[in-house]
Amino acid sequence: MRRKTSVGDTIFGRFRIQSLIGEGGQGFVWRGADQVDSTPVAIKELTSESVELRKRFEREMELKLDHPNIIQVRQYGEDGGNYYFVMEFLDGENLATILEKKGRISEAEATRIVRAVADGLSAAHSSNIIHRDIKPENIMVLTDGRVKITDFGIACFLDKERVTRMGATMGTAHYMSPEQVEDVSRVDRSSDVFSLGVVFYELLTGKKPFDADMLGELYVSIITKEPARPREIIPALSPQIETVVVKMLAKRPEDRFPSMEELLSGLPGAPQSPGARTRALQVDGITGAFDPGSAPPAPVAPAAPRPKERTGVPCPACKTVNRLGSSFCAKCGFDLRGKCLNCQSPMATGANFCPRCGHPSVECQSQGYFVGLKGGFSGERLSVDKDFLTMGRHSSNDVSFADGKDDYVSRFQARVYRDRGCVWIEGWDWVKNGVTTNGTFVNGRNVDGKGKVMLRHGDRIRLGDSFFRFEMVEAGSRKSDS
Amino acid sequence: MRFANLTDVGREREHNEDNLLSTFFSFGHGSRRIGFGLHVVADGMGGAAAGEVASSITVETIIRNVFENLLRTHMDSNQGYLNLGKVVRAALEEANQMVWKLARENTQYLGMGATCTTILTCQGRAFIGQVGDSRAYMLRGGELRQITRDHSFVGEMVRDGRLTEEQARVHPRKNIITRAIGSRYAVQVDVFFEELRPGDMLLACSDGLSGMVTDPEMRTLLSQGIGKRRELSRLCEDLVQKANSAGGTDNITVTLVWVDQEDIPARPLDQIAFSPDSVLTWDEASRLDLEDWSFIRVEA
Repeated sequence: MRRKTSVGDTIFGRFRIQSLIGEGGQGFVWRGADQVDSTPVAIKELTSESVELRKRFEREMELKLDHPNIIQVRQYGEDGGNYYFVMEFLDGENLATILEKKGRISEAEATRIVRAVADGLSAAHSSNIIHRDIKPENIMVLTDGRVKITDFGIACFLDKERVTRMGATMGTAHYMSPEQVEDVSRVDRSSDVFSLGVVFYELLTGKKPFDADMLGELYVSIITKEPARPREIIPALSPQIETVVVKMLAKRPEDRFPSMEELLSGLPGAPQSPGARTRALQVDGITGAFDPGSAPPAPVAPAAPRPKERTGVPCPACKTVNRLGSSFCAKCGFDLRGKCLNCQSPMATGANFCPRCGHPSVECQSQGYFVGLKGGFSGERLSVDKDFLTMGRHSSNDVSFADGKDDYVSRFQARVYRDRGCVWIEGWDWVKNGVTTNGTFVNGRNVDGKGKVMLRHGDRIRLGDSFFRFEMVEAGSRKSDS
Repeated sequence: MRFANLTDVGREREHNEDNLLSTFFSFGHGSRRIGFGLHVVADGMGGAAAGEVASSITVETIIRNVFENLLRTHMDSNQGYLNLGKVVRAALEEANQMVWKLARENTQYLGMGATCTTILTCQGRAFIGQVGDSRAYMLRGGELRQITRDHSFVGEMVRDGRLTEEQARVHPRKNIITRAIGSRYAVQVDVFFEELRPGDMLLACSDGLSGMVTDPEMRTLLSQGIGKRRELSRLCEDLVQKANSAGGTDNITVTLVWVDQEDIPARPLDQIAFSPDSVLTWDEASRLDLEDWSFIRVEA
């Protein structure tokens, strides 16, 4: 006899049910606690219908996928006549909610999310598990920015579709691949690529590539219609990203990316080497996960420790010492140039500033300044002489706007970081939602709540009513050696 | 003209959500008397009893709309002609509006709709209005031909060349339709036209019949029945029985219309006039921007 699950019950002798979170398509979802390590868990209680199908997939789940981008399943099985799935509790929002709130998101953030999902799917595909139901509801973005795929292997297609002719299950149908529409059993890795492509399209443009009032029309549309190109809807998107999305949405599976690995290397901004992180290069700086501890992309020349005095540059190939400022080895022609941290263009050895964007090089012994143009520090030149500075109206700040300097600056407004020749600013007081007049602005764009933004020579910064110009200047008076 | 019709709940469904109506009526008197035949088949869908509501509203609205339209023309002495194709289209469009409004205003009717096949006959001509995957066929000289086009997912796939008829018949998604009465604010109605000949038989049915019985099976059954002078009502029963033996997974509805010699006027009429003052000459009528196959001319 099945007993009814209620608050206070303990499942598998370990997980205590605390409250009902909601009701999903397959049964109730409870919040609970793992009494072994006191961590929160989500407990899915499946309806009897779903149980039948669940058992078919139990073999897959036994492989217990363990990947940072896949929700972790702690335990599953029968208890007291009911069937439960115990998973880690995720604190965040799924993409469906995010899309509802924001309409669409930036290209950088969308790419980051899709890359994370592709990473997780890649691991699953290697274990011969196909998700089959990739859609915004099944992708969560946690409060710390991590991305997790949920409902893995649990969502299975029903043999007898519970579909009325008018389309009760239209929700899932928007993300189905053409081969899934034509034949439910013909699902494989490339179907996941297609479904992820639909999600990617919607994240970038805010619109679904295939939509209709009726289920039948939607099916026909998925099979026969070519969706509008993303840049027709959002012209600001890069041509590379459009190419990727279009390829993911190819009607024939063989025309898409054959695997998640190929997709990952096809996504723009793919890391040059494993472990390297991409950097936020735009001013609006939505980085997702900036970590000052991570290494910047390595220059072509070996990264030597910062020399105190530079007399010459040894060629890594033939060891000849070349003059400072050389681009190629005089003896063997080896390319000695490094890459600008900011714009990636080649920089000659020993150069302090990038010839193209003016950004200081890693080895540059340069100094950052906030030059007051208007407001609290008008006419003053504030130097960034520590690795960490705070700015705000409270008197405890390193740069304090107290005593009437600027009443519109928040008490704790911004933080400034210095790291390997670069200066970053972070709008700290992000308690307010969205753009406020009291916010921190770089070149007219509000950077509150967007993490650390790298400053470049010439950037205009505003805090409250005070305006600054950021400058990067060579320290001391260096002359090039000859 | 003679007709017969029959509807059956089938073997698997609990309720019959099909609706149908067939009737003859005429306007005018004496030499101006014009007779019409109107046959409607509607297959409803939606949760709970919503399907039945949708299909019955569809049928009622179409009848009322056609009557009012013809009556208005009859009463209005200035209006001397009728475009019967437009009459059929307007009737289905109004049915769509009625069902759609009701579906929006009541949560228990949310998402309900109906397919519909409507045949309007007059003076040896048939005008067929179609939405959804119910069908109209023409049986002539022993050959059965489908007049309407299915508005269904598998129908589009067959037309596109991606599926064969046989594959469509057994496809798991064969019930998914692409157009319905009541699914959106405006509906695109297909209208077909047939010149009738003596010995023709028209068949209108829901997919409960056409999905269970193949076209060749229907043709054989009907041709043999006609040869044996079997009554139309018996032929309807035979078809329903055949659908049930094949599984009867859906409600089954069929209407048969038989065209006699006397239904085809010796001299075709191209215009309807309901009052003596408003008869147009052929010249006058031909100068107007109207589809000529839908006109009926009164003899002078």
